[in-house]
Amino acid sequence: MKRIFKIVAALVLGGTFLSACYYDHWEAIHPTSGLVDVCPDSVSATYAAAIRFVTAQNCVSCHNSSRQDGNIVLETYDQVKSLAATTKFLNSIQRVDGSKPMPPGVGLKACEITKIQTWITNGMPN
Amino acid sequence: MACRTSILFALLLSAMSAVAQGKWAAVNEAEYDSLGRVTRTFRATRLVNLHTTELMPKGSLDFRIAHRFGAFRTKLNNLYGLDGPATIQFRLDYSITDRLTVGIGRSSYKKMGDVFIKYKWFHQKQTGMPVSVALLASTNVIMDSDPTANITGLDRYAVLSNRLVYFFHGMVSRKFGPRFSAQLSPMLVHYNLVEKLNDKNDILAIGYGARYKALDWLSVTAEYVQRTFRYSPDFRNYHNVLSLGVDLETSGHVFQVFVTNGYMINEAVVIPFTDGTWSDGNMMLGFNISRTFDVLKK
Ligand code: HEC
Repeated sequence: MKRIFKIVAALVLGGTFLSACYYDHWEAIHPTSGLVDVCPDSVSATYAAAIRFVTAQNCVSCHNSSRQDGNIVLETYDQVKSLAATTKFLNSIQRVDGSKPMPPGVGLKACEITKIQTWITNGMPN
Repeated sequence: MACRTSILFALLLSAMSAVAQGKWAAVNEAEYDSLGRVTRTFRATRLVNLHTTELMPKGSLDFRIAHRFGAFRTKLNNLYGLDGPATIQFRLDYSITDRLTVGIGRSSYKKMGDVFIKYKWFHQKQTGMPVSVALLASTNVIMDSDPTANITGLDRYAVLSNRLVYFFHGMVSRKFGPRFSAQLSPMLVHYNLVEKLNDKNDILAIGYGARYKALDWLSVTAEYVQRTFRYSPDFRNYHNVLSLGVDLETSGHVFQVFVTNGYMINEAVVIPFTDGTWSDGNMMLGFNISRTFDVLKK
């Protein structure tokens, strides 16, 4: 009996090690990844050209329609626009003292925040 | 930093080799079972986030809930994190033999599922074997959907293998006396799929754990996870995990309460991707509770 368990254990351990072990990099599989670096000046500060890529990469994992963290969803233009009209949106991404820093942990890049600010100043074009 | 780490590592290793040479006094008489094996090196199969060399006796079914509240830095308005956002893990562990345990779990962070197998290789003995050794391997599945799929049209989780993360954990522990036990663990996390070209699929870390039995019903515990090399360009934005807590014993149960900056619970994410530190207030209250059923009892 004991021996059987040892064999089972060895098989399962060895099995996880050897089977289905990959060394993949998403960026290598999809060099463009369909995502855009929004920082260059050539990228215009509109929702379609820039903002949606920032929110998709940094916010939607928590603020999606199934999870709805903080009762906030950021999947569509209208949703992002209505949140961006509030002060807590900029406070959160700028990590102003007393705000809830967003995204939690590693924040947005400074140039991404600048792009969002430009977008808001311009009246949040789609 | 690398230097300090290697000194610490060397100290621990030399302590262990000293142990192996039998320089340490034998553990208190009452702490052995009938086979001369040291018992209760730790009070539970987990310390905080990590496993210990303890396993359950054959035929035990353990239902566990691990919970981490929100960060202290959210201040009084958020009741120092007790209002949330919280992370939680549910799991069932079953010991097939005294030396072999299997388990399944589900964690809220990234909606992660896991299965593990844990094997006790050596027991610390009254004479002879100076340490206990256990090994663990787990397979983890990210069950969350790809957050950027609806924008990029590319779903990174379309194939199952991209969702898989493996975790390997060696545990070496020693009970130094009736009150003090320590554990050293090399750990490897393997991601089948990582993001950037410069990200590494393998992440190596060392876990340090200790328990001090202050009273019969109360032990003080500490756990530290040290990441060893730069596995990502974002390495500096992620942090080592420090946890300090107590094991409270109440009529045969162990209730573990602690403060930690590792809120993700599952080792496959908590080791490489903990993004808050104690110094910036991103530590939180957490607890592990468990209820064990003896399924073989007639
Ligand atoms: C790791 C998950 C996570 C990510 C990623 C995240 N958020 Fe949040 N967000 C939350 C949670 C949880 C709350 C609710 C916090 C609370 O109420 O305590 C929240 C709340 C907010 C709030 C309300 C803050 C307030 O003061 O009430 C804003 C604004 C916000 N998020 C914006 C964003 C933006 C913009 C992004 C992306 C740049 C983002 N979040 C990314 C989890 C996340």
